[in-house]
Amino acid sequence: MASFSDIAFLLIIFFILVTSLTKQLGFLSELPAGEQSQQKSEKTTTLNMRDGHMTLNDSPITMDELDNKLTGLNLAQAQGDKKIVLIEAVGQVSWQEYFEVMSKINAAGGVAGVVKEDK
Amino acid sequence: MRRSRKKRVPSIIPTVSMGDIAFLLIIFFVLVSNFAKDKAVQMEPPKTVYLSELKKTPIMVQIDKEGRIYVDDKMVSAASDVESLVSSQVGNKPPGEQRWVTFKADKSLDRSVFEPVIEAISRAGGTLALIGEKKP
Repeated sequence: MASFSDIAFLLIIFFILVTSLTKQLGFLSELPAGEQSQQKSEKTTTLNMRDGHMTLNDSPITMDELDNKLTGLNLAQAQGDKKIVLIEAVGQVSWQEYFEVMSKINAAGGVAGVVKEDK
Repeated sequence: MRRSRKKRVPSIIPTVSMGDIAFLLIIFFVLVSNFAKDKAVQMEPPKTVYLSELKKTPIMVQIDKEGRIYVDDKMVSAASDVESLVSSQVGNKPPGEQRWVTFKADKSLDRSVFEPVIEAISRAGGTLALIGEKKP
């Protein structure tokens, strides 16, 4: 009978450990429905990434400057297509850069879209 | 004078600790098997500051550092396979948590590898739950 309390404590420890192990860190990103590969329009905010260099609406920008620029666009208050920031990746772009850019767009209240490369 | 009889010691195997041992073994194998599952796909996730805790999703898509694509730990050959598998799991679900698709990829992968996969997940109706690590 003394082992019942042992078993109870072991089960509690087991569930505490399992719950903490299953933690995942990330963010949600829903590419605009119906047109996952967006067509650029003149008014849509476009972030171009090419071989380690970035431009936001044709202005060169660094990863560190991107936070402030995205905040300045007031994406959180924008409605509809104005919330979308199109990511146009050309050439070699790593997942680290892409992921970081998507996280910054998401954090600024925007929606990331992907520009389809014309073949 | 009565002779005091020696009390016979009952020959019983003490089994009180068997339950403890059994549970320790169960916990050990459950924890070890969880670690083994996570290490099956070799990758280093990307880092960013803007992360929050996410719940587990019905389906997980991973791309390892060699560019191999896995859907729920089963290797698939192309992004089109990802689309059909994701569509079968989440395509008919209502918008919300049931459509979340966990996506994990190695940070060094080129866009030619991951872009078709994330597009396939979105075409299938999934919401991307992108997993990374916190930047220090």
